[in-house]
Amino acid sequence: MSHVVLMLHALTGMLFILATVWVYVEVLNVSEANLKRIRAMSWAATVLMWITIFVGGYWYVVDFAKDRGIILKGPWPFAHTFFMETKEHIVFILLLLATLLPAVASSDLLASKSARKLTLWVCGLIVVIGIGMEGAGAIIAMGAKVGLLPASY
Amino acid sequence: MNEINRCAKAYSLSLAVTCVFSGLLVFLKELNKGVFKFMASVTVHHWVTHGFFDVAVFFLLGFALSRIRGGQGPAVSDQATINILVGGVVAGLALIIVFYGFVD
Repeated sequence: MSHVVLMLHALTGMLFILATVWVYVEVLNVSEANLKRIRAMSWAATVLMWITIFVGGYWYVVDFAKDRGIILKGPWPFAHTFFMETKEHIVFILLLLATLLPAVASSDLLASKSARKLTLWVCGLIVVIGIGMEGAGAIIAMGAKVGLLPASY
Repeated sequence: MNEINRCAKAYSLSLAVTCVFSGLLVFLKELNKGVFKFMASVTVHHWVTHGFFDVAVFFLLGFALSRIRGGQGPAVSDQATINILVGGVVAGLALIIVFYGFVD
């Protein structure tokens, strides 16, 4: 069950990044026709991020101790000491950016260049940090995997 | 000309402050066992408490900033708002990466 929870965390995280890329592209091409879509997708991104942190947080608090032991005894201890430790704290920045997104997207994007610029910055930061989070997650998973492999592998 | 709405501006500035607060809280809790134990005792995990503190600071500060100047919000230009937001996020990231990369 814990593996399903972990995969759900990665899935909703990826959907969150995709939704944010969607908002970014729509804002670059903003018009009367896509304003509703921008606001709907910015809310979708926020909801997906909150689901991601709740699911990942549950797994981290309840199930991660076993993986941590394996990682720390394996050949890639940095997968926990650097990547997991930074990931579990940087995710709060990502959560707040996701929460801010609907507020900035509610500005007058059609008339205001500044509002568009702010929305693009928030989306850009989310995408760059989000991809970093996905990469860190892969390194943590690999840290657990190499910790389970026989030394001769 | 200021065009970013009051709430977006207030919560953008709040986010910048919260990112720096969160990074400094990493240093404080990891270097001070008393703070770490306190945070671990407040909820099921010190990480959960850290998250609650961040979310609380973000919403409380954002709400307060949106109400200042008789409800007009902060007197900060649009470009300065963007600069402060990006600077706060980068500073928060740097504090966390520096701590776990070089201090811990």
